[in-house]
Amino acid sequence: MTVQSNQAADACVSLQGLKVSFGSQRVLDGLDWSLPTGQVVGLLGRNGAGKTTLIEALLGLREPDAGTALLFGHPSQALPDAVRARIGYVPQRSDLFEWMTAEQMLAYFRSFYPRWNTAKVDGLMSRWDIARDKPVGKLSGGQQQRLSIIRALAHEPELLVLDEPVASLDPAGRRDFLGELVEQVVDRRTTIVFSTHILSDLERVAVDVAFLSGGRIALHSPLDDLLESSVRLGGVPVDVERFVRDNGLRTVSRASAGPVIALGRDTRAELRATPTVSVDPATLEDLFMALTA
Amino acid sequence: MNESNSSLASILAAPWQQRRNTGSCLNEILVVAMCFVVPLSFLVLSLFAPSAQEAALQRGIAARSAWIGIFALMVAGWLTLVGNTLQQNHPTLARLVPHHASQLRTALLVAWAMVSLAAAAIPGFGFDAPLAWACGAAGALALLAAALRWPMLCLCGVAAPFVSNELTSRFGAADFEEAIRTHWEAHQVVWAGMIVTAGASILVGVIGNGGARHSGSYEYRQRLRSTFFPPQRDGAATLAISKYVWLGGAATNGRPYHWWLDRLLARRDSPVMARLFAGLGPATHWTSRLFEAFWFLVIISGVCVLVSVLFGGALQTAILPWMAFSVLTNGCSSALLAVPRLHRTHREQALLVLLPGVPRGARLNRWLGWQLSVSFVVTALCGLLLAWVLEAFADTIAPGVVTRATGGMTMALSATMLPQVAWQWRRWAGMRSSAGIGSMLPVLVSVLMGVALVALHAGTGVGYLPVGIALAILALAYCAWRWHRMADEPTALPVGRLA
Repeated sequence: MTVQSNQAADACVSLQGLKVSFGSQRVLDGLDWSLPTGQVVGLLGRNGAGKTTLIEALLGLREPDAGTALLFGHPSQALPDAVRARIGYVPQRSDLFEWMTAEQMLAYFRSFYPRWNTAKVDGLMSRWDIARDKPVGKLSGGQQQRLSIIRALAHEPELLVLDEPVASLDPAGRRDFLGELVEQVVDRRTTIVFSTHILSDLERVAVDVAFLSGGRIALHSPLDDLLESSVRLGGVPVDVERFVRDNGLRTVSRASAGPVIALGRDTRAELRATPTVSVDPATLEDLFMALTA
Repeated sequence: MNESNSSLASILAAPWQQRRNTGSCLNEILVVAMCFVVPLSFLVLSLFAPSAQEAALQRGIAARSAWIGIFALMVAGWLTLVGNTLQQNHPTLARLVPHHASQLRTALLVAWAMVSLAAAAIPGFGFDAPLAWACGAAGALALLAAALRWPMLCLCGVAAPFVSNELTSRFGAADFEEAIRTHWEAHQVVWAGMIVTAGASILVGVIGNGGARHSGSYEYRQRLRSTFFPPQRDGAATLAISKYVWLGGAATNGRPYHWWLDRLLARRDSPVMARLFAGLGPATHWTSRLFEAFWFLVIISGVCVLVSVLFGGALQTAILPWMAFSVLTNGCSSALLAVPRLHRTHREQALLVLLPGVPRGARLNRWLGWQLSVSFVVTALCGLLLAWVLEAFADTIAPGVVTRATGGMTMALSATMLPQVAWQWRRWAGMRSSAGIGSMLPVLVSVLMGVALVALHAGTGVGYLPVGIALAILALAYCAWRWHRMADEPTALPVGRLA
């Protein structure tokens, strides 16, 4: 058993200098990221930014060209069984094991894990109305996704990694899923990393958000603090620039056109609009557009 | 005009671009190699021929079979082009994109004219009958296109040999041929006009305009295609459970597999590796191998009985050696198709390697190589045993029939088959997904090695047994080397993630 430094052992997930390339295209470029136990992080990034690659490298499913990935202090490429039993993973596409029935698939996974919450599985299966005797391949996309989530939650993992878990779910399904996620966090202090494009869901669940851009984590911050300290500035560029300078703000928008998104040391409540510069609260969508450009 | 030309060019170049985008020309190389393996073999044989007369005879066979290879290539190219054009003829595009259907029709007609003219130019002038060759090629190509569009027409292709057999036996082969020749010479222009008109009409008709019938037939063809040739997992859903998949060689009909899986899961203490093997999917599992072997034997026996009843005579005894040959090639091919089968579940494998108890690194790599090897060797040994029994039986009832029917190919294949175990020890994490003929590479290699061995045996008199032993030793050495190398290689599963 290789236990790295104490700091790494404290962190549930620790990535250092992670580099992954596909041919000449560098997807992750010396990425550093660390997640303490019990944190819920929404991973945001544009299509093709490398979210899935990051998740796969984090779980040891993809060998990085350079850098290290530690899960619970162990290299993710050689996780001991005890650590694997603490991890739950919902991949981007959930049409998996489609040759098995839902019942067989759950029995299959139950046979590997030392802990399995049968009551929870039964409850979710009946609440989400998933036919047990139907082959997975014949379930609808949403039902496959729900089954995938049940499978990942059933062994009560301490680290739950979800790659766009709600893409195929309807609003009711998303609400149920988010409820389960909140329960998981409250009851078990589970660390959750999930990537999604549905920002409203993220605002309801995520404690932290991390923006992936240019192969690195451009910003990782508590969501409430981020929204509290960010503003959208409008007006003549010269005036906006002066406003940013005078108030000690940091511009984060990279687009040449559109509103300027800035982060301040103080809360946005303390900022006052001037006759030439408008100050509005920035939304998560504004931040997404600015930080992942 | 220029836009129209570039649109035609892009339609005609689509099959080539599709292959270029997948990053591998392996399928094309294999098709070309298969078309010319027979002429090359006879050319090599002619170098070792004991007499000048025999060498000339073998060179003649080589030349004739080279022509057949060229025609086969032409047909394969045409089928690829028409198949691709029919794929492009999506009902929605035909309905919404301006001039889409007419452009596809024009492209098909241009390609048809070019190939027919090429047939007139190359073999046509060579055999001093350019118009006959052009019309023959034009008619055959149009019929092939029609068979792709309306698959039921393939039944005509199945019935054609029987009808031809009936006609020639009723009127006499020579008389029948002479009647056709005379009629053609008397009405060449009329026949040419009819073939051109009918062919062009067929080609215009195969492209749909996007109506309800077009949508129905397009979906039907897609269903047929995915039933007999299940697609790889990426990009399209795999038809996981179908009662017809054994015809496409996919063997994911899960009855024996599910029976075994239920037994495995009922036991709490079932071995982790047995569960892992089951988790790799039915296509890789030994239960499916048994299922495939059973159906293969049923089908091949049925075909043999049918052929011997229909044709009778000398064919009845010649069938057994050919049956032995196909038992060996087809029976072992399922075990050699590990790459496409493992790729089919590569996304599931990402979950499997995260499960507690599942090894990683060297242990998993070697376990996978060992499992696939055992499965292959057992299948190959059963195939060899059955093939030898069939040949021995055939030789007992009709001495010398084995050599006359297959030229000893089964014995040559016996020597080259077992060494193919080397294919099971690859660097799976870096293996690309392969489709079509590319996935059949191990099978083709064993057959090509068998052909080469027959040529070597005929030319130099080297026995099959010593060559087989030498190849087996080489294969074992390779496997041992791979066993050693696997210690430092990335985990085999999920397959292809490093490709």
